[in-house]
Amino acid sequence: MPDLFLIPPLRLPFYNRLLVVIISLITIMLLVIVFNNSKFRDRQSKIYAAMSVFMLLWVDFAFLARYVGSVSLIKSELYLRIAWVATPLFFYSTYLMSIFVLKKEAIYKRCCLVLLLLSLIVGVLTAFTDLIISGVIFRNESLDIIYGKGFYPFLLFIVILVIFTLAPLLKTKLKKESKAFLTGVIIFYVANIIFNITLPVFFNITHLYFFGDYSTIFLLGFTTYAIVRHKLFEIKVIATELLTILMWIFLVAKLFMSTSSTEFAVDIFVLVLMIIFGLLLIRSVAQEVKQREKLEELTTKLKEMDKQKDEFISVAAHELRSPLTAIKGYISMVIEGDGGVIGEKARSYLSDASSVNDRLVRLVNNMLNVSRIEEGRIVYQIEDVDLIKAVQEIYFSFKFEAERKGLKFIIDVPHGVIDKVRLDPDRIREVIGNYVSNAIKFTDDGSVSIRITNPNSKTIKVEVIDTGPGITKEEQVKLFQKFYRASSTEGKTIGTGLGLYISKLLVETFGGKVGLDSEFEKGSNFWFEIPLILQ
Amino acid sequence: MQDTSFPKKTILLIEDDTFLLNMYREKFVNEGLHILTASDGDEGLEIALNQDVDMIVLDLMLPKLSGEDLLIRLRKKNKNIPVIVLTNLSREDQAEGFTLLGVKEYLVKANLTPSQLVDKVKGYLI
Repeated sequence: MPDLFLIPPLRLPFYNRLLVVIISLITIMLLVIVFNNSKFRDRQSKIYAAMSVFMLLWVDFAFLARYVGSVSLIKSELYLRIAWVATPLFFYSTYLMSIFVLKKEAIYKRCCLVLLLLSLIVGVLTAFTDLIISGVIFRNESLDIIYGKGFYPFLLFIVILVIFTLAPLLKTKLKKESKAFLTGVIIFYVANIIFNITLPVFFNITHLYFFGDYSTIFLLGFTTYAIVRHKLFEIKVIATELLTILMWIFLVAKLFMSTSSTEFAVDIFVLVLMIIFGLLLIRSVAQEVKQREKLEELTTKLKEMDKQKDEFISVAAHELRSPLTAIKGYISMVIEGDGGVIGEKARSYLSDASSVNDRLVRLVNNMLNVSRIEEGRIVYQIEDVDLIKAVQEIYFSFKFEAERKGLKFIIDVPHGVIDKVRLDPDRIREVIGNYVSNAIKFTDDGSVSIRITNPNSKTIKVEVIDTGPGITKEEQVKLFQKFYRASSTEGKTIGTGLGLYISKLLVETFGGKVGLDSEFEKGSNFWFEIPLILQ
Repeated sequence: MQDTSFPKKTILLIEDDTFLLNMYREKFVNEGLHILTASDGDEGLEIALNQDVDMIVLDLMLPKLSGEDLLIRLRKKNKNIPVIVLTNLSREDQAEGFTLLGVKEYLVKANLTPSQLVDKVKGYLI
């Protein structure tokens, strides 16, 4: 029987055997994760793949060399040489990774080439000459290596690689992923220096070598984190993959421990089931993650569009305001006589034009105001205000418009009404203006009257009562909502459906409330109440 | 409508819209104020720095140099001329920043007739 199939007695400790299998599996798994992530398209994951392969060669062949040591020294030496050839190459790929993690490949290009050449030379010398390893002996249940003359230069070269790897990492201010990589590098180097160099070379303790070898897994783990980290969502998938694969490993291990064929059959059945369900699980998690990513993307897009909308409204309103300003300004100047004396009739026409223009100004203001009020971006100029005076101002500014429509326009302030309130006078004028403008707009004949009262000693109430079409109970509920327009107004006039909504927001800001009493075809009474300043 | 109570007061009006510039100029002149005009930020700053100006009425959206930048440069040169911002942008939410830059008032053009503006300006000149 060729000794290839000779199974050596299991001399190595159980945990060593178990560890080497687990570490190899984890390495392959990490490789799969990185492959899933990048398909090895970028340089970083290519270097990662090289690291993984050299690490597997090193760890597994170092183990195999010791495993077959008691049976075949020739084979043991061969395996050991393979492991030792892989070692400088692994250190070199770690060096490359550090350069790439820091994105400094351009700076160290020449250095990379020189070190690669040296690594290859050292590898060839290790493989084909006795300079570094001249042989092995099996003694006291463990494998001892006979070092050649070139062993110390070999060590020196490894140390040089270590320095070249660490120097740029320690010199640079690190990002999170580079820190993870550095952590892995340091754990690996420290374990290596202790178990692969200090103990065997200086203290002749060789049986603990594997602590050094196996610490590579920390390096690979942290490196994996470093290169897939920017895809945070993937971590959920990776965790699922890890757990599933661990479960498979456990089940495969259990196969070898089964004591009867029935148990073996059951274990196989369970394993197959777990593989199927595991794959389904990974797929569904991956899908969920993809959906979440899509949702995230959509949300960002939506927010972007919302911002664009706001910007558009702001720009459009600004552009609208300029001509409105000119119209308003020139009309007022003509009325005031800046252009010479004009007739009474002309003056009244211009007053109408001015009222209509003011309505447009209000419309634009409403468009601009609504989002700013909602988001609290508006700044109020709060002061003590005589509300009656504010109402009178609005009354006079609408007088012409109402009279031209043939409406009776009345202001009704009983004697002795207390009207001191604390609020932003411009904003409350907006509210009263909105009410009055609506009343005049929707009333074709009859009257519009503004009434001011004190329903109790702490409150002032302003009512705008019209003899218009009235509003049904169903519509009354919705009228103060954003963008709502009463169906009775459809086709009759344009509006943004914002006026009453803004009025409500403003009045509530000043501690008051708004309301509406109306019956269909019997006119409407829009009102608001504001708390008085208590003397 | 000649008003002689502000004979030596000079107002600098910085406004890029020709219609509005002419309109405001006419009104200010009718109200007896001496007026200088500029239709972009650079020109406005130049005049504000080199001529004797009692008050600036400043638009914000201006070519070449925005009203805000003009204000900042003006204050850096240690010019404490009172300023009224007259714009159609609704940015009262930045009022605090403007107050820090020595802006007396932030006015929206569309809400104001020229005579109301003149009244405001006169109010600060007394």
